[in-house]
Amino acid sequence: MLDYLERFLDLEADFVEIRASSNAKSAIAIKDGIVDSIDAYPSSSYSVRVFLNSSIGFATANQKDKLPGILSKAVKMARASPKTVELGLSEEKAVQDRTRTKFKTNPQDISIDDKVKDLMEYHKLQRIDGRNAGTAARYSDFVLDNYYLNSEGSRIWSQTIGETLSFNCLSQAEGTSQIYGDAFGSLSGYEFIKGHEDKVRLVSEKSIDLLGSKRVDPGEYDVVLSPAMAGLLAHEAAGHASEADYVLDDMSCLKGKAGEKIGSERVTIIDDPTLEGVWGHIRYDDEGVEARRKELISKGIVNEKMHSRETAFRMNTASTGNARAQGPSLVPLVRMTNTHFGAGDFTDDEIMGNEKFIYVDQAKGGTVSSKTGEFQFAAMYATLHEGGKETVLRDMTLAGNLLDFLGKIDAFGKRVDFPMPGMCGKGGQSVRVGTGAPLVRARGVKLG
Amino acid sequence: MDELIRKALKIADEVELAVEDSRTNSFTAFAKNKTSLFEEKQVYSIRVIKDGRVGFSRFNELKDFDKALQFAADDAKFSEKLGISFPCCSEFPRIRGTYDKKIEQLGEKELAGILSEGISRIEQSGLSNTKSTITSNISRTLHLNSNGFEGKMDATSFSANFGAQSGDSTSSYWGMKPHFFDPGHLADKTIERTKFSANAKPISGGYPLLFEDEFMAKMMGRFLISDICGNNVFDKRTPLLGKMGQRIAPEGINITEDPLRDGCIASYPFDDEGTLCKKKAIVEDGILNTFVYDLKYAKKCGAEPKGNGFNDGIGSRPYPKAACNIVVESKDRVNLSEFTGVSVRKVLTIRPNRMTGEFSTQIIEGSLIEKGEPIKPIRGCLLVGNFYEMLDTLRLADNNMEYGRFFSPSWIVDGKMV
Repeated sequence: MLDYLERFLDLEADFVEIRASSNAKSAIAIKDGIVDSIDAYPSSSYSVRVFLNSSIGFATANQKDKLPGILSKAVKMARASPKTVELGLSEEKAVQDRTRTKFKTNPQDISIDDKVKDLMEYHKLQRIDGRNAGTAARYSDFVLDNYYLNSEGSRIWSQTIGETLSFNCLSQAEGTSQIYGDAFGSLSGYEFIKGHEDKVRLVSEKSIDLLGSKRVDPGEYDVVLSPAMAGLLAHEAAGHASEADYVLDDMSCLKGKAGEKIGSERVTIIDDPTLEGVWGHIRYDDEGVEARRKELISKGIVNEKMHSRETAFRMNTASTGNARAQGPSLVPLVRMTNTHFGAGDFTDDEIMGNEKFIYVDQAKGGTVSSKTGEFQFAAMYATLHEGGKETVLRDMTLAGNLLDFLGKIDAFGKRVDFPMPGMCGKGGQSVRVGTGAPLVRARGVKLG
Repeated sequence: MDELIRKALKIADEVELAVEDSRTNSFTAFAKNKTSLFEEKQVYSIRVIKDGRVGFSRFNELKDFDKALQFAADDAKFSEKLGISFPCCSEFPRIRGTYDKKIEQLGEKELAGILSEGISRIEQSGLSNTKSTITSNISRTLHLNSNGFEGKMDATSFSANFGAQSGDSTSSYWGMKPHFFDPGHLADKTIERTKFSANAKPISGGYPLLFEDEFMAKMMGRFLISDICGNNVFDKRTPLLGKMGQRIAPEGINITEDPLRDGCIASYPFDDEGTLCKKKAIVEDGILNTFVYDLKYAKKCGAEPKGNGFNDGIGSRPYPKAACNIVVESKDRVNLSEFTGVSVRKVLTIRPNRMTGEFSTQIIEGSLIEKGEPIKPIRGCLLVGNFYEMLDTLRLADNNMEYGRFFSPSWIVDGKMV
């Protein structure tokens, strides 16, 4: 494929970049003992990005024979774009490489029949008692081949393989209904499918727990955040504000704060694409730059930003390999990879030892205004610990501002976990990301 | 296409094939950084019925047809035997104003010029642009099945979004129509909102709430419009289970899905399964009147399909969806100039409890209103409540709003901020 694409680089432009992908996906959904759907399909995508007189043109198609036609369209789009700021790309070395996910068994080598059988075994574990009124299980995998070429000599083929499992359970009793769900994922081969029995049963147990749950009395509480919840916070609040495009566009609350202390010395937030197997791992970004580890907040101090070649050019620095796109049909934007809080030195017992606190367990998603630092995270499951008693809470929102919140954190656990395979949305695109953390304790947090 | 259907009929009892050709031109400016996108796509989908079981797949390139056909057959092999048959209707109502030749004729320079003009308005008012986009789209869909259904639809859309900021105050305004329009008023609305939102502060306590266009559409989409879908009803995952024929809104409130409205972005003569789309009262005089079904869930629930099998694009399988224009009306209206309370325009996000309708969300753009006049901006407070308890207190204001496919006056409900 790289050889085939090479011929299209010869265009009248200052810089030409071609991306292509072919993706084989399969997904199985089982509901209440019945196979609900099997989605399997091939797809492909092609795009060209050109820089011409400091303007960008981008064109895409999903059929190979349309590629010659979109080349001239990209040049036309660049010519039509009014020049407002000096656009360009940071200087990076050209890369020639072939890279692939480490795996034992390619999921494409497993028959649909066997995948259905394996998922059904998990699905059978979901009904632990009569209160589990509805259960659903889903498996998905992908084998993605990406091709990257540019007029500076880069030629990269990368193959990424991944799988996810997700389960949810509806429980009902005495006129009350509640749902709980969880998902797991890995960049690896089909060997990932083994060993999730306990996690599957836990989903059903927690949906039953929620039947007796309460809503939190709105107010301020000391909280302990699970790795899922704290990881989401690291991503949404600190991560997005550290994306250089937001900084350049005056849309980041961390703009102008480099070197400033915004949290205690215990607070370090990292974006690390090099963690192989973790959901947000990449070797090269979608501009062909090798992706590297960065400390966004280092010991409480605002540190590095994440860059694409475009933002690095505008800020006179080097790319960090964070230009990512949902696929070749979309323009790469500055995106995170695996974003997490660094580990601390507190034991779990020390962190959970307070007389009264709320353990915020399962995350349901989060949103942030990167400009102001205001954030909102939803949790579907939490527990209030008070006087030795534990009360299950449902559907709470944790709200605050990044710049205040980091100052409220006073303890980190020792082990960083990446519990969920996340998808991050930005600019209409969704990319896989890892979010992780150890246990995190914070004081006086607003819950509602 | 006929040849592909004939080929598929060698292994299936019934076949449905759809293809969508689309072209999109888009110019975006992030602050001063402008970027452009041209996309040309052709996507096919195939569904087969074998022994009463339905299977689905998709493909982009004709060379992949055999592979996709096999995937669809595999899907059918495992799926439930429901005895579904693809529809064979051949006459559809005519809907006007879903295609505008002007959009097809818009060149790159013209689109880029429209964007620049909107941004100039923002900058001339002393604000800076955050993210603004102009997009035009042309799509041609052909939908066939082996029972004789043949549906063609040409559609266009033109959309504009303007975002502005001043200090910590930001706002944006969006509009989309099937025909070309001058988006200048969207830029003006963005300017007005951004200027008003400066120095916004949180408030707390119980207030009458005014849902403005964007928030009203978001709440409808997250709750009622999703909770009436047949798959959620069958799976018992909706707070509306057992509520059919019961009061869920005050007397006089009517909420209708109208697929046949001329000149609207979500008007369709037939759904993505070839079923004729019909206008239907979702809530009639405050009473829940219908759930919506695709062919599969209509069969499972023993209901009549009325054209609500929609996909999220040709490349995905259809499912029950109230995807058409939603119109909210009532005879009695509240005089907006008498309203005192809090108006809500934008929130960060709404993640509801799917079983109860409970939610909490952070307001990022709103205002305190006294006798119809906005007196101070608010943001940063949590709105906590239950959508269906709010719906129970719904009154409609004496204005008319349009947000995408939602047509409604402002909603007035009781609410609480913390």
